[in-house]
Amino acid sequence: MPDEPIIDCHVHPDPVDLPEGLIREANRLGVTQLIVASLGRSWDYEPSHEHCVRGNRDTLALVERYGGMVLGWAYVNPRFEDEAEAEVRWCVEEAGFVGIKLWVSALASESCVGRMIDLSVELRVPVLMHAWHKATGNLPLESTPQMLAGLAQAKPRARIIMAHVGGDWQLGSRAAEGSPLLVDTSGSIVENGMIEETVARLGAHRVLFGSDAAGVDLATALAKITAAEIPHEARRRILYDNVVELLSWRRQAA
Amino acid sequence: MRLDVCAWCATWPFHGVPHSDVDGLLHLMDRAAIDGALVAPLDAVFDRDCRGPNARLARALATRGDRMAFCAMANPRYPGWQETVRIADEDWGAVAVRVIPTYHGYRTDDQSLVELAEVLAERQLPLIVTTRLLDERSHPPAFRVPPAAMEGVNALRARVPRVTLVVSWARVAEIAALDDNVAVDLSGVQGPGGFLESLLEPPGQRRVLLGTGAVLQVPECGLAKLGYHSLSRRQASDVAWGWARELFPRWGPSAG
Repeated sequence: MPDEPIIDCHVHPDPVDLPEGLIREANRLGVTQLIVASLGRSWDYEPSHEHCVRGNRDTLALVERYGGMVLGWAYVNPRFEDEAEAEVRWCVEEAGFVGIKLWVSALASESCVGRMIDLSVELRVPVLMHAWHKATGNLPLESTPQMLAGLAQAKPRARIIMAHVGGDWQLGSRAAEGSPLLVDTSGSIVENGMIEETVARLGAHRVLFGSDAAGVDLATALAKITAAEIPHEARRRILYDNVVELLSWRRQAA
Repeated sequence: MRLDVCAWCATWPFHGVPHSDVDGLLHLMDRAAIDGALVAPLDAVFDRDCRGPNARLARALATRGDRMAFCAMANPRYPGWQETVRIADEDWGAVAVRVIPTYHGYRTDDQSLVELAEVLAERQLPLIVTTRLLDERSHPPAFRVPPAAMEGVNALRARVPRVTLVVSWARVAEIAALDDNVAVDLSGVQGPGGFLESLLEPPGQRRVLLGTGAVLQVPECGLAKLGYHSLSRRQASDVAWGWARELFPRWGPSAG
């Protein structure tokens, strides 16, 4: 494993705590920081605002418990516009969360999502947003990579990370190509060429390491990056530098 | 020692795959420190008649030393499959025979698969049943192939108990539906950390083999599954090579 720090930008608790095994694996693999988003204590595609708030308090407990090893994403359902905005402000300004997590409760093309993106620009924090193009059919409010690319083009000052390289990574990386989208590598897809081709299309400066642990094996997700036939400098960027650079956006403002 | 029981060669029709030929696979094996691989012809997945793809791969492997062993493909619904198996066994020295039922258009409870299993049992050739080759969400829109059903595999196990049976590229939930005496490889297994431990409980009951899914998948991702902190050295070595040696007795020098 690389003898340099590694930040995993896409982690979920299971469902409240980080499994002991995940922490041990992170230590074994040299993953020095985990950026965690709770999606709440139950599986809910269109969660209530309270569901998200409870999840964020669980994330805060993890941030406090693990010190600097765990950072937090503020998870909201953007459809509850005012409440979601207040919650994001509290999470970022009071609790020190590093960005906003959006999942499958509103499409990237909807105005309520645009409002969250505008808020992220004001607060100078990144947004981690799920996207997938599924041959089996998307959830009703699950955004496609093309939708995220459109959102990123409409909000060029925002720093939006498309999770999973859009799931179907060939389509996702192609959709991201003409936009300012960043991508994370999280998820269970481990296809040969995924990282090399994504880096070739987007540049290493737009690719971030994510695992999707605890649902995905951290070691497997990391191996995609460590095995990729890319220059050392590109690997460093993906595993660490790009996230540090993103997180410094807000610190620069302060 | 690391023996990969699920490796493939040849062109993938839907998008470019790096290192997809025999030399490319060898490069991936070197990169990942894999000692031996059981290699099947990927083009046979898309050719109902597997004989040509088998011959091309067997010839290519014959010139590359003993790190790659030949795994023939067979389609028991296509005329002449018996001769295809005979050639693979007697002329090309196949170590095992792999099938991919849903790509070739039959179910795992098809009578033709039972007949193939009986022939393979007679020839003492293991049968590998491939569940899928891609995550269902990533299929090309006009080429969506369902995974093979595990119920049929259990029935096959019951009807032909003499054949060595390995299920390849199955998910954790699918493996859980299999009878304990069906071996599995890890090529399709993705899950939370520690999933491999759960597959190995109780000890000795389920034979789990290393399979990476190269060249379609990153081989190091398959190997990473063996490194989980609480896996014992014995468990890891059984998965990495022990069960492969036991289940594929014809595997040559690279199998140690």
